[in-house]
Amino acid sequence: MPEDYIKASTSNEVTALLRRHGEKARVIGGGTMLYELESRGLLSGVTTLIDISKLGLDYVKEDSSGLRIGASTTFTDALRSKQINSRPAFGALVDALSAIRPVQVRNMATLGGAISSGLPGLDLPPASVAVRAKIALAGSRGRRTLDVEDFFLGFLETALKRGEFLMEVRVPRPPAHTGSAFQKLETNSVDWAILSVATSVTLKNDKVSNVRIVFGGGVVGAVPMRATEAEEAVVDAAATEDVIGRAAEEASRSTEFADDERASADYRRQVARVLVRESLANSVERARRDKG
Amino acid sequence: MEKGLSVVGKDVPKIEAVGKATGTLRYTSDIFFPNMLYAKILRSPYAHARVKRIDTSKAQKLQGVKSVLTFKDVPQEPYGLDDLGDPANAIRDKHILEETARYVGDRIAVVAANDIETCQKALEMIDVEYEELPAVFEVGEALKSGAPRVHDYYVMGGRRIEPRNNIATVTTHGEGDVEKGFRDSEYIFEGEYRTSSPQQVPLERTVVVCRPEADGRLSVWSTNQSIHGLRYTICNLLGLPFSKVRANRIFIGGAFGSYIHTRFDEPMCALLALKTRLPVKLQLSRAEVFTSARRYPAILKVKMGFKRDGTLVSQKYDVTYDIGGYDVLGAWVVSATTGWTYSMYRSLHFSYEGRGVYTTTPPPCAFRGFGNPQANFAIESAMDQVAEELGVDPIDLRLKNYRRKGDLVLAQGPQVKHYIESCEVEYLLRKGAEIIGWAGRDGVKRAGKIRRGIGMARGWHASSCSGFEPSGIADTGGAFIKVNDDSTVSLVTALADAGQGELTALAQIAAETLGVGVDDVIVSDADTDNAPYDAVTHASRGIYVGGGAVKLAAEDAKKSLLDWAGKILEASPEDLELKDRRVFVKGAPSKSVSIAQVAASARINNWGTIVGKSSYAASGFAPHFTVKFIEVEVNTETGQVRVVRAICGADVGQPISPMGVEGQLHGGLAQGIGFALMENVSFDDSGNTTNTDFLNYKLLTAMEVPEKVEVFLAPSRESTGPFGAKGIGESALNDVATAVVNAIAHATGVRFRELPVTAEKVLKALRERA
Repeated sequence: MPEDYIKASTSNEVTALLRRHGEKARVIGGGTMLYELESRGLLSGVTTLIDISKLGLDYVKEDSSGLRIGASTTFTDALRSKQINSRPAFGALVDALSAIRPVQVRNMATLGGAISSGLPGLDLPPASVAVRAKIALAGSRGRRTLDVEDFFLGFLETALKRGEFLMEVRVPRPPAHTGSAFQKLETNSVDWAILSVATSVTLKNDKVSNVRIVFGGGVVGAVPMRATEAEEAVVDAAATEDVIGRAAEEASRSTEFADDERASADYRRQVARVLVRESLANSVERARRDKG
Repeated sequence: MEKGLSVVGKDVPKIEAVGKATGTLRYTSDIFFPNMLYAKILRSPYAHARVKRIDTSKAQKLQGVKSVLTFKDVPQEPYGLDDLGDPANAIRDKHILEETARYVGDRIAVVAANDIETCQKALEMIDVEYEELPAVFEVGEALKSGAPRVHDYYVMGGRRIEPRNNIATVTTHGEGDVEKGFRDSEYIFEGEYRTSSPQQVPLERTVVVCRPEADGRLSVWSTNQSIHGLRYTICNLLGLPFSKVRANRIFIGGAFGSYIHTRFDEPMCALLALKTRLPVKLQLSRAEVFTSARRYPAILKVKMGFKRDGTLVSQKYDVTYDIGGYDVLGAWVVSATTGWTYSMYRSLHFSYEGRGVYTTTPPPCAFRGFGNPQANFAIESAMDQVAEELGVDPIDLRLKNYRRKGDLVLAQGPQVKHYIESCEVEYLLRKGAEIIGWAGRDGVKRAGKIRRGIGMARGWHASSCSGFEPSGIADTGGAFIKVNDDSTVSLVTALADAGQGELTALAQIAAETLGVGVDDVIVSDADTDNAPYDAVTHASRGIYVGGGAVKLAAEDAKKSLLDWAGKILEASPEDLELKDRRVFVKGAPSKSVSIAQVAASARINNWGTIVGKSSYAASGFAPHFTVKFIEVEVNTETGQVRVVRAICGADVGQPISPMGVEGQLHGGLAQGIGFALMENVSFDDSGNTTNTDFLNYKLLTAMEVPEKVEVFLAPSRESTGPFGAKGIGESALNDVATAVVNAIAHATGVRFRELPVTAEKVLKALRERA
């Protein structure tokens, strides 16, 4: 059980602490997962929590290269940001952030926390893969960025090395006519997704020039999973209902779904078809509205 | 409804509302004493196993450990829950700690230490060697010959009884000749229904505090629905005179039946406190709460014979309950289901056979409805299908057959009998139908992905355990009243309040009777020393019996009050009336005296104190009736069901607090939708409970409760209840799940006979149909 709580004032302090304590220290964002993790013994061995709220990482900025969202930005603040909520291309982020229905959680939870915890059942990991986000990490040996896709390694496992923490989420500026969406199946509003899907679509002359289909919760592997075969089936095709249906079929067929207490793999497979179809249709509709 | 009421029938905030909203109200877990120890239970990792060897010596030696108990240290005679009935009838099959574990999580040892962490360490140092025994998790398996025996024997009335095929208890009841009835019928319906096992999920986890006092007595606080039951069981079990224990009433953060009776935790904590001579607190973790109580799961076989016109001729019910590893209330729930099946619909011929079967699973306990939601699911699902098959409107079929004013009804056993006096079932059915637009209900249906449907069910529950003949169930209530010099009223009642607003309603009854405001009533702390016996807050009896007792005590006090006011006003007591904290001469509003002045004069003149007492038994159980009309949306591609609108109607007699009744109906609705769609404690192949937290155990949150909920109350009055009141607690829930499932049937054409109706089940059924 954590005993020390340190409010860090610089990123160097954070990386030094992480370097020193290794596995025994953990960065805390809004703290909304703390109890969930602790009560399942998933924080055993963690003695120190490092609060990064004083590092000035609560911001959403936009420049020619795209969005930069500070790790401490809360879901509520991100949802209020015009840079995020006005572009249909970022629809998946908006959907995923609002998919946390209890306002109390949205007010506390941070983007950095939701991604760096490495929990596949959360909503932001698949949404961030769909929008091709990059992750900026600070470490005791300097900074580096990597594709968010390469960040998730397994259940509670990420590419963070000793001494590193997530400082910023970057979303490269998508081409015009990009739309993205996120959708999930849950039993109640405090559930982890039984199944979740994020998609993004870029249209060129109403043909799909770029697409991502990403499963979150409910797949084997415990990381966001792209349905690459389904993606290939859509690229260069016209964004018709038929094509979307085929992609959904393919995504559902080629993905390995979890089979557990909460739902059978068979059920997830059937619903995956529905969620992918709806999410792609949403993305296409948004892409048509997206002006870049 | 009653006329001329000034406090009863009015919406008043709960008396403890500010304390709850500001966090200042004290619950059991808020109690701390100097040198208080904490306790933790060592639980069996096996569903069925005998302790071959247990070594606690290392744990005993750990710094901070004050006591370690095992089955060797507790009373060796098996006990049963016998405080409400004839002890000779109790099934005695359990001990405070067991040598043989009968479910994963069964109580093997307990440690008391300076802090929880030390308890935890000590538990890990207890060395147990188990001999695993064959386990059985399902009643179908348990009933087979040659199935593992959960109990070789239990004790009843001093005799050892060996249950055959794990059947712990059987109740049968009949009228007429059902087989002849079926021969006389023109249409026969048969169905088998299975209900699940939701947890009560009280917000407050189970907690007990026991403190040895300087005078050698033991004070107890607990999440327990009865202080007298608590005292009774601790004393009987530990061989203490009743005078040695003082059980204290304290607000409970939700109970729903799970804290109805004293089971294992309180006697265990009391024993530790007596052994260590120190205060001890035992609080269960949420995971432990999940394995400590749940609704009795049932398999219900229904056979009904009708005439073509919908007249019910013959009904036959065969019900099997899974009672888990011990009989907590299994025998009683089996017996009570006689009443829940008998009392819904008239027929010349009726038979009920129920049995309770041991399995090596955590024993269920009472849960709002006590078998009635299970029975309701079978009966009201069947009636809905019968109506469809006979081509009769479901409401008309019910109106034709329901038991009504003057009819005999049964409640928590065939011996609990009552003739219905107040009954507004017809009003409820017609009004509910009108509000939801029943006649045009096919109009809400939609083709395509999202289908809509409207369904209904009706329900009822007893408002006590009393009948017109002795029911054999302790059911009396009692109260003390004192009128103070400032016209305030002190009220003492043993009844517990678990959030349902019961103490507020009792204060309203006292205030109405004595002509004061509800704010003038002080509901005093109560314990087993100062409060008259009141059985327990259960069976929806708090208002009907507890309120009856308060009214009687207040009327007793009113006698002195009017006598002495008469002396002051020089008027006869019969010519006086109470209003606005004053005593008036009827018809002469200028002649009056304040209650405060009467009380003060009585003191100064040595007339005495204005006091009242009561011990009160109801003459029946005054059924309260409900209807639910539910509109659902079914997503045919994911199987998800959403309740979009709910109409909850109730005949509660005269409501004491209409807002309180409304709250009960809202809460029952949420719990009932959870029962219908998602809630169920489940087990893996080794008997481990797989959903002991809120990630894996799903219930409705505020965000899933339907936005459109309409409540209406029938104009009604029950002459045997205080100010015409009956109960509401249980029937608020009893018919909800059935109405939801009937609405799903209307939307999709699929009739589900097993709860919960999860999204996965819906999708599977829709695909099979397609």
